[in-house]
Amino acid sequence: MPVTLTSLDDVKFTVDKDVAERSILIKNMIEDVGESDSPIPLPNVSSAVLKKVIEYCEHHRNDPVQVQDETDDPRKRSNDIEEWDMKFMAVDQEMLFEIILAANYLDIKPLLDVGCKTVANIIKGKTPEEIRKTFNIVNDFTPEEEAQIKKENEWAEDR
Amino acid sequence: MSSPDTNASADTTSLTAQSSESLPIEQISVFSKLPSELTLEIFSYVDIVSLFRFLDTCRYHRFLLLNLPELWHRIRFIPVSEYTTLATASSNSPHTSILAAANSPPVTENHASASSSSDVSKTTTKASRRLKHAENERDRDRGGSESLTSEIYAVLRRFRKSNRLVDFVREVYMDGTDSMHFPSPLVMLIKFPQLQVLSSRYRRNQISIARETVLLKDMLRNGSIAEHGLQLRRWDIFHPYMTKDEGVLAFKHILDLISAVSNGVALDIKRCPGPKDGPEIKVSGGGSHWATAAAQYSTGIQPQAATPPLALANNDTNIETTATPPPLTKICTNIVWTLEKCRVCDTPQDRCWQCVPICKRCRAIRAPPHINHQTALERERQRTAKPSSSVTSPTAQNQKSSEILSPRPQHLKTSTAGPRSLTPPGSISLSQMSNPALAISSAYAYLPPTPDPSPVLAWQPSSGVQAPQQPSLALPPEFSYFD
Repeated sequence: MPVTLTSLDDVKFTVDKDVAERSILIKNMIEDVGESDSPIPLPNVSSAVLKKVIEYCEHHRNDPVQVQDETDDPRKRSNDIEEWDMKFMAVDQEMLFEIILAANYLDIKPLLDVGCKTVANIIKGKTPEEIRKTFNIVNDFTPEEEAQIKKENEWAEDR
Repeated sequence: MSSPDTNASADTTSLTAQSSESLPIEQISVFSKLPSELTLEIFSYVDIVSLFRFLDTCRYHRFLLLNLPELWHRIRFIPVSEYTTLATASSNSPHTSILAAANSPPVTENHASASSSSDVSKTTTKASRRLKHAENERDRDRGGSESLTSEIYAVLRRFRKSNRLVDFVREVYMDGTDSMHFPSPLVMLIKFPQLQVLSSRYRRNQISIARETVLLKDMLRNGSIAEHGLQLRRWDIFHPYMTKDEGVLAFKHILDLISAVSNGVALDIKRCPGPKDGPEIKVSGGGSHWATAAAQYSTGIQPQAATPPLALANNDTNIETTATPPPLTKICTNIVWTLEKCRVCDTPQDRCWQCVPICKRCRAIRAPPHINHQTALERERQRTAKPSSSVTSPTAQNQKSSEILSPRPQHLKTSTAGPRSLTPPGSISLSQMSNPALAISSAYAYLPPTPDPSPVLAWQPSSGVQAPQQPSLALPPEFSYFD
C-alpha cells in the first residue's frame, strides 16, 4: 500500500509502505493513526532532502531492520561505509548536514550513521588549516593564542 | 558532571568572543546547526589527534567540544599508518566550501577517506604518502611519523590537571598502535586517574605480559601507583599471536592489586582450561595424527610421556591400551581470547584450538588465532567491497554462507590456479579457509611423508555439509610454533 509524504515546501511524495517504514517516526505514525489515505506531514524536511532520503530508503528497503544495541561498540569505525552509500553521500556539505538532520528527525539510524561517518571522515587526518578551509571556518584566535597553540603542540625536544 | 573548564583547557584560549561576535552563530560553523547529540555522534568516530586539530580551528569549535563532557569520556588513538592513508585520501580530493555549496561539485573526499582501498592503492607515489602535517622535509619523506608521534605526545600533554581534562577520561582505545614510538598503555594508566577501560589490542611487537607485570610491580614498589589507587576495571590486551602463557595470572594479580574495583580487572585473555570438555580424540595404538601432536605441543607433555613403558612395549596385546595418552586436563599453557569464535559458524570457543581442535557445532577444524583473525579480515574485506546493499539480502547471505561451507572447487586446488586475491603474502584466503586442511598445506607447503590416518579424512560432517575431497594431510610440526 502506498504512503504519501508531504515535505516542508508542500511537495507530495508517494512511496511504498515498506520504504516509508524505514523511518521509525513514520512507522510509528502509521501504527498510531492506522491505515489512512491522508498524507503524512514532515514539516522539518524540505523536498530536496526528502527526495534524497527516499532514494536511500528505496535502495535499502530489503535490509534487515537494525536492532538497537544497548551496549554500543566503543571501537567505532568510520571506514566501513558501503560503496553505494559513499556515492549517495557525495553531495555538497549543506545537503550532507541536512540529510543528517533529516535522518535524526525521521529516526533512520542507518542513514544517520552513514552521515556521521562521512562527516567524521572529512575531519579525520586533516590539519587545522585544512579543516578551516573545508568547512569555511574563520580563524578567530588572536596571535597570542595562536602562539600558545603552537607552543602546546611543540615536540618537547624542540623547546 | 560539569563540562571541562574551557578557559583553563585552552590555557590557550579564553572563550570570550572577539572577531566571531560580529558573525551570526550559523555562519561561524556548520556544526552549529547540529544538536549536541549529533555532534557527539560524529566526533565519536574521530580519533583524539584529529579532535584536537578540530579544536584548534576556531573558538566556537573549542566551545562546542569542550561543552560535551561525554565526548572526553572515551578517547581513541589510531595507528600512525592510518593517518598516512587519510592524508593520501584527502590529498586526492578537492575541498568543498560551505559557502560555495550550492554551486560546487559534490564532495568527494568522503569517498576517498572512507577508503576505497583500490583508489588508495593506486596512489603509491612517495609524494602522496607524505603527511601534510610533517614540518620538515626529511620527516615528510619518511611518511611524517616523527611529526605525528610528537603530536600524539603533545595531545597527551594537553590533558592536564589544571584544565581538568584528565579527570574526564574513562576509556582509552589504542588498538593496533604497534609502534615503538607510541606511548605505552601504562602511560595511559598513570596519565588518567579515572581510567576504567583500557584497550590495547593488536600490539604484537609492543606488548609483553611478563614485561608489563614487572613494570607494574616496580611502579607499585616505588610509589608511582598506590595499591587500589586506580579505577581500572577492564584491560583488553589480546593480539592474535599471543598464544603462550607468559604469566597471565601474575599479571591479573598485580592489576587486581592496583585496582580499586572490588571484582578486580577483567582481561580479554585467559589461560586455557585444558581439553577436558573437548571432543574426544580417538587414538589408536601408535597413532600419531596431528591432534595428538598438537595436544602434546600445547600441553608441554614430552612425546615419550605418552609412550608405553619399555616392559610393556613388546607386549602386542597391550599396545592399544598402553598407547592411550594420559589425561591432558589442567596442563595446557595456551592463552585463549575470551571472544574467540569459530571462523565458520561464529560459535564462541572457550578453549584453545589445540585442546579443542574441532568446532563442536559445525565440526570445522579450528585454526590458530592469527588464521582465525585473517578469516575475519577477509570477510570484512568482502563485506566492504560488495557493490550495493542488495547483496545483503537474506538470499544473498545464504548463498554467501554456503560458499564458505562448500569445499573448494577441484580446479582451484592447485596453488597456481587463478590469480591470488588481495590476501597478503604468507596468509590464507577465504576460499582456502573453506578447506582448512588444504589451507594448512598451502600455507606451510608441507606434506607428511607417510599417509597416516588423519581426523580430516575420518571427519563425516553432519547437516548436509560436503566433506572436502583431499589427500591425507597431517599438521606440520612447525604449525605448533607459528608464533
